[in-house]
Amino acid sequence: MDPLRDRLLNINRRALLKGAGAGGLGLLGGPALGQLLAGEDPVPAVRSHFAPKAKRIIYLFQEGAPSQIDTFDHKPGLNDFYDKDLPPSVRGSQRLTGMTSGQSRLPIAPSSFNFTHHANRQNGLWVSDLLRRTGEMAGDLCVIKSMLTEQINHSPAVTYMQTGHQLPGRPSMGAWLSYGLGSANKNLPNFVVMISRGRGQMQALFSHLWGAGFLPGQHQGVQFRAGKDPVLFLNDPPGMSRADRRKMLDMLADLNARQAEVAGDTEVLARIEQYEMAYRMQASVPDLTDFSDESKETLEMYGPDVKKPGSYAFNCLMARRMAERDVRFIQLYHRGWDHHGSVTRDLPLQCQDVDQPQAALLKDLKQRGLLDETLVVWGGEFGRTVYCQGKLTPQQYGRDHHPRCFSVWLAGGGIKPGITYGNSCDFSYNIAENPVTAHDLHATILHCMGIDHERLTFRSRGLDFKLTGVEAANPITDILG
Amino acid sequence: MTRDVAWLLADGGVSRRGQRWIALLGIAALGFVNIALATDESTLSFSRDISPVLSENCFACHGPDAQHREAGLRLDVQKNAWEESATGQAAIVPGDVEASALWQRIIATDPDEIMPPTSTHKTLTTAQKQLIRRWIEAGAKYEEHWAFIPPVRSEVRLGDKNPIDFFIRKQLAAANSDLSKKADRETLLRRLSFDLTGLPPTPEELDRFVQDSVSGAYERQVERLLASPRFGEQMAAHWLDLARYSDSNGYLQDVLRTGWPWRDWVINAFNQDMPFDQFTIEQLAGDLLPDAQPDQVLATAFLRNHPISVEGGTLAEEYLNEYASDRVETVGTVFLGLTFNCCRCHDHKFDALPQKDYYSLLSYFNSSTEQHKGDSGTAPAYEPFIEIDSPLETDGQVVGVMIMDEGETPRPTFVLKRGQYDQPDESQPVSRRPPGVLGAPLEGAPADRLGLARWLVSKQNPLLARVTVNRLWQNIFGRGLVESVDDFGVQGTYPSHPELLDYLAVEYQKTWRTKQLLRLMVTSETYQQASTARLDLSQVDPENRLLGYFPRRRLTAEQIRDAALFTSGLLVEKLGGAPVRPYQPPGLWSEKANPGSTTGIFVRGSGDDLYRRSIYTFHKRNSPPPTMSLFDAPERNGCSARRSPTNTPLQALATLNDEQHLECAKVLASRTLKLDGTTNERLVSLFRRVTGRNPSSQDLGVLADGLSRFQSRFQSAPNDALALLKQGVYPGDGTTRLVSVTIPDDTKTNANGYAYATIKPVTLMANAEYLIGGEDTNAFWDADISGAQGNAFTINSAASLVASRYAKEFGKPTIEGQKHAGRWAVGNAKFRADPTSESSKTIPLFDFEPAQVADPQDRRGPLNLTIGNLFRVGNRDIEITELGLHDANGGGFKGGKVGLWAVAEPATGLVIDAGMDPEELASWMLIASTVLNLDETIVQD
Repeated sequence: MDPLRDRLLNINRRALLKGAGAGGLGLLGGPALGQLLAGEDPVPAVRSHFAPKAKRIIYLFQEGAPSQIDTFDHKPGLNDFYDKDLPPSVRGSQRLTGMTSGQSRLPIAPSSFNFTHHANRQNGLWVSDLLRRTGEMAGDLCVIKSMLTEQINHSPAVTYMQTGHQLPGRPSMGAWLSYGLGSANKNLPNFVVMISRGRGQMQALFSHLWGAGFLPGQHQGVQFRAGKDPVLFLNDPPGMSRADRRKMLDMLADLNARQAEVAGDTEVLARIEQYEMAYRMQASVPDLTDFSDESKETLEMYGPDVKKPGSYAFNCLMARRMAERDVRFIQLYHRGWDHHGSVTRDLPLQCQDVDQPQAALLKDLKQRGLLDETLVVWGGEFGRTVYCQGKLTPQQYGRDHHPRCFSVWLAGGGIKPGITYGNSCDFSYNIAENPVTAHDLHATILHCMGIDHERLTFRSRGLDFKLTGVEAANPITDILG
Repeated sequence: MTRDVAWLLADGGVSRRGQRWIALLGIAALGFVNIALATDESTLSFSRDISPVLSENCFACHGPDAQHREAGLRLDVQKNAWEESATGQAAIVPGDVEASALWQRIIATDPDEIMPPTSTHKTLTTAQKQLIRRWIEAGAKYEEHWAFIPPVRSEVRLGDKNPIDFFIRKQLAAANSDLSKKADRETLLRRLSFDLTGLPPTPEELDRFVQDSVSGAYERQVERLLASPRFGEQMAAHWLDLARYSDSNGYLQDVLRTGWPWRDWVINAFNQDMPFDQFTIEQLAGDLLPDAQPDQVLATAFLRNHPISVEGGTLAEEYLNEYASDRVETVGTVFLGLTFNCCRCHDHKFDALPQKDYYSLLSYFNSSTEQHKGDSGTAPAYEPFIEIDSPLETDGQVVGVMIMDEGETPRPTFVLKRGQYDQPDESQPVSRRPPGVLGAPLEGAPADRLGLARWLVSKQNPLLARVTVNRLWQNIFGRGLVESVDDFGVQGTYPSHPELLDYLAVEYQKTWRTKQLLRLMVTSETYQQASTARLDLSQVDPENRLLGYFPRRRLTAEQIRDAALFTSGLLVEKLGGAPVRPYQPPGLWSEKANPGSTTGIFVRGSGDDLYRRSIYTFHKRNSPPPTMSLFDAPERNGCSARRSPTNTPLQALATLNDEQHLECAKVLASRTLKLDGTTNERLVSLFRRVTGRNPSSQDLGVLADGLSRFQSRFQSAPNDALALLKQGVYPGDGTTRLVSVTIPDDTKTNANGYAYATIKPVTLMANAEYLIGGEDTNAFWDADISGAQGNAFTINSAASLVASRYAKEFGKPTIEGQKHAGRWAVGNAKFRADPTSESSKTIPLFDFEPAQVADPQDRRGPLNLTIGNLFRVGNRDIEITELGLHDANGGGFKGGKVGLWAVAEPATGLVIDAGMDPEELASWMLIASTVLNLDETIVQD
C-alpha cells in the first residue's frame, strides 16, 4: 500500500462519510469533495472559440416536412398557374420520389390558405393565417426561405438534418454541443429530447437522431417522455420512500468509497457521484414537470393543451423551463407534417397544434429576458412540392417531398431579428437567391454558440469528423446579429 | 509528486489523465501515447514516430489523394518527398535539415509560409518538430506502413515462459518496473468467468477453486470455462456488434426480420472453436463453397445484416448501392482493420486507398440476386433467403434468413463520381481485386467472394491475424495493443507492444483456433496480476498501457444484466432461439414507430423469456433495448469494433429502478432468506454470491445497520413492503397471455369500425393480481378510425368497458378506482360475434360513438393501454385472445399485425413461503438491490 495514496483516499472517504452521516443530503456540499469528484463532467472539447451569443438551443423540429408554400413562402402569383403543368425548365433534372414520378402530370397547386402581412424590421413578412400567432412574432424571427438539402426520403433527410450525414451513426447536433461545451447545470441532463404527436401521417423517429454516434455515450440526448416517468427509470418503485433511497445511496457511497481505496480507482468515486446526480434528478425532474408554479396567464398563453403531457404545448413550456435551468440543447420533435394526401385537410390541424405554443414560447422567453441568450430554430427535414400529389381541386391537394427548397426560421441569441434571408423562385421549387445548405445552417447554429464548426472535430476510425461534413459549409454571416 | 497525485484523484477519466500526461511531456497532439519514446529517447522509428505526425498534419494536402494535392507535392512517398520540385528545392534532403523545404516551412513564422497552414488549425509541437529534425538528419528513410508488412515472429528464447509475459515484462523493465503481484483466487476466478462466459462464478465454484491445492488448479478452471456453452454466447456478443446484427431492418419502417438463426450459427461456431479462417470464409462466401451446406449458406447472413429501407418512393439503385457499400465498409473494418468509408467518394487522404480500390472491393458484393423493396414490404426476410432453423438445439422453428446468392454474371461496376449512386464514371470500370496496397489476388482463386475470402485468410494479407488477435486482446485486457482496433491505417495508433502483436498474430495464423489464443492470454501472468492501481507507474504510464496491473473495467451492458439474473437464480439458460422481449418501459417502440411497422408495438414476453441472457433480447434498431443503450451498447446501424464505457446518472437509475433489476433483488432476497443462518451469515452469503468476495467487517456493519433500519421501517408500514414486492412477475405461472390485434389496412373506409375482444377462461393462481396492458398503435390508430367521431380512449375506459360488459353478460365485476377489479364466472366458450347482434358474445370494446369518447374534439388521444390496470379475480382468469377492429361490415382483417395488444397475467405471483414475512422480504430486497448496485458488482477487478 502506498501511504500517500492511502492518505488521500482516506481524506476523501472521510469527507464523504461526513456528508452521508448528516442525512446524506450534504454529501456534495463540501467544496473539497466537489473538486475531488470533478471527474463527473466530461471535459468540454473546446468550451468556445469566440464569445457565444447564445447559451442554449431550443430546436423545434417539425418532422415530416411542413409545406413551405402554405406557411412561410408566400407565392400569390401561383394562382395564375392553377392546374397548369410545372414547367420542365423549373423542374430541371431533379429527382422525384417514387410516389409522384409515375404521375402523368405535375399540376401546380397554389396554396388555398390566406396569408397576412406582418410587420418586421424589413419590409414585412407574409405568413399563412394557419400560423397567425407565429406570424405576429415576425419582429423577432429570421425566416430563411432558401434552404435546401440533399435527401429526398424521410429517414435519411431527418438524419441528415440532425446529424449532418444521411446514414445513421454520426453524433447528433446536441451531442456535438454537449461534447464541445460541456454541461451548464448539475441537476439535469445536458441534452434533452421531447416528442409530440401531430395529426397527419406520422413518420418514424429514430433514437440515433439524438445519439452520440462515436462520441462518448454521455453526450447522447436524454429523452423526456410523457407520463409519470419522464426519464427512463426515474421513479423509485412503489413502496419505497425517499428515506429508503437515501439510505441505500449512503450504504453504496460508504462501500464504494472503501472500494475506491482498495482498488485505487478514481472511476469509483465518479460512480458515487453519478448515483448522487441520479438522486438529485429524481427531485429536479419532477420539479421541472410540475407546472403548479406557472401563472394562469402563462398557462393560457401556451393554449389549452399545455397541461397534457406529450403535447407540443406542454413540451414548449417544458422547453422554457429547461432554458431557465440551463439545459444546453433542448430538442423537440413534432410529428405529423407529411401531407401527401391532403394538405388542405391536415395542415390546418397540424398548424393548430404548433402555432399558439411556439408563439407563446417566443413571447415567454422574451418577457423573461431569455430570448437574447437562447437560439430557437424551427423547421423540418425538407420542403414539399409545388405540384399536386394525387387529385387536385382548389380545396384539395397533396404535396410530395421536395428537398431543393424549403423554409426554416430562427430567433433569439445571435440572430438578427425581424428579417428574411434568401429567396425561392416563383414556383418555390428552386432557390433564387442565397442558398443555404443544411450544413450552412449547422455552421450558423454552432457559430451562435461560440463554436467554429471547422474546429469542433472528433477522431474516429482514423478520421477527424465534424458535424458539417467534408464539403465547404459556412455560417450565414448576413443573419448573425 | 504531490501535485501529480492530486490531479490523478481529481480527474475521473483515464483519458484525461492521459491528456494531462502528454501535455506535461510537451508532446500534446501526437495523437498517441508513445511509451517506447518516453522510455527510450535514442531510437527513432518512422512508423512509430514520424508517420503519425506527417499523416496527421500533412497528408490531407500532400498525401495519397491526387485530386486535392497541393503544389504537386506528396509526402507519403519517399521518392516524391526527396525529389526536387519545379523550384529546384526538395521537400526533404536526407541528412541536411537546413536544405529541406519541409523543415524550413514547419519552423517558419511568416503566416504565408508556415506549414501546416494556419487555416487548417493544426500546429506542430516543439517535440514533433524535433522528431522530424532528427529523422531528416538521420537520413529521412521511409518505411512501409508497419501494418502492411506481414507479421514476423520475433526470434526470442522463451523457454517455458508465456510469450505474453516476456514481451510485457520487457517493456515494463525498460520503465524500471515489473508486473504486479498475482490477484487472489476469488478475484481471478470472477475475472476469468466474466471474460470467458460473461457470467460470474457461483459461491460453490469459488470455494472449489480456493480450496483446490493440487497444481494446475487455475488451468483446470480455464479449461472448464472454455468448454462451457456460455463461452459461445460471450464471444458472440462481441461479434454481433461488428456484424451490426439486429432483429429489425432499421430505416423508416424498421420491419421485423428473422435473422436469429445466424446469431445461433455464430454462438455455435465459437463453441465448436471453428477455426477463424473457416469462420471468415463461411460468412463471406459460404454459399459459394463446393457442396455448400445449409449452415454454410446461413453464415452469409453476415453480409445481409445491414439496415434495409423499404420506405415508399426509395430507389432500388440507390439502396442496393448503399447495401453493397455497407458490406465494403464492414468487411474493411472487421477483416482488414481499415477505414474504407472515405475512399467511397475520393481517394483516401491518409492511407494508400484510391477510390478505385473501394469500387473494386464493392464489385464483389453488388452482384447478388437481391431486389429492393421500395414499397413498404413487411416480410421478415427478403430474397434471397433460406428457410432454416437454428443450428443450436431449439424447438426446430424454421424461419427465413436473408443470405447471399450470387447472380449469374457480375454486375459491371464503375467508380462512382463523388460516391453518387447515379454517377458512374464509365471511364473507370473496375474489376474484382483486393486493395492494391495489400497486393494481388490469390493465384488460382476465383474472382468472387470466395476468392476474396481465401485471400483474406491467406498469408498474403498482413492484416487479418493482427486485427483479429488485437480485438481478442481488447476483449480480455480492455484495450487493444493497437488501441484503434478499427483502424490499422496510418492514422491508427501504433501498437503499444509491436513484437507481441506480431508474435500472437503469427501463432494464431498457424491454426486460427480462438480458444487456444485465449488460453494463452488468460494463463499469462499479465492476465493474472492484481488490478490495484499503482502510483509508482502513474507518471510513466498513466494509461496503464504497459500493463503493470490488470486493467479494472466496467462490465458490459449484457454482463451487468445477465449477472443480476444469474446471481438471483432467475437466469434461464437455454442456447439460441427466437429473440425474446423482457421488461422494458412501455411506449418506447410505439412512440417512434412508423405506421405499418411490424415492430411498432412492443409485446412483453412472459415466463422464461423474461430471464434469458441479454444476447437473446430482441434488438430493434430504431429503439434498442434501453438498458443496453444506457450501458454503451451500439445501435448496430453499422459495424462497431469497440464500446467506450461511460459512467452516467441514467445508468444508476437503470440498475436502481428497472423492474428487471428490482425483481432480481426480490428473488435474491427470497433466496437468501431461505438459507439457515444468522443475519450476518446471510448477509455474507448474499454479498459473496454477487461480488465474489466476502464483505469486510465494516461493509457488513453498514449492511446490517441498513437492514435493521429497513426492518423497522416496513414493520411500521407493511403496505409499503407489499407494494415493493410487486416488482416483476416472478414466479408467475409461466403463461403470459398475449393478445394480438389486427387492424384493417384500408383505414379510410373503416371509420365505422369497432374493436372487439374475444375472451376465454384460463386457470389462474390463487390470490394473485392480474393486469391488462398494451401500447398505443401509433398514428395508424388515429388515421384509421378517427373519422369525424374521434377516438380518444384510454385503457381505463377500455378496461372498465370490458368489466361492465362482463358485468352485464356474466356477473359481478367490481371496479376500484383506477384499478378495474372484476369477478365473474366464466364458461369455456370463446366469445366472438357481431356486436350489432345482442345474442352474440362478442365484447365490443369501442363502438366509436361520441358518447364513449373522452374528448370528442381530440382526435389525437392516445389509446394508452399501459400496464397498471389490474384485474383481481378469484381463482379464475380471463384471457383476451384477440382485440382488434372490424370494418363496418364486420368483414375480415387485412394487413399485418399492427395494433393493440393486451396481456392478462399475474402482476405479482410472489409466493411468500411459510414463515417468511413480507416486511422481512422487502427489507432484504433493498439490501439485495444495494449490493447489486455496488461498483464492484458491475466492475471486473
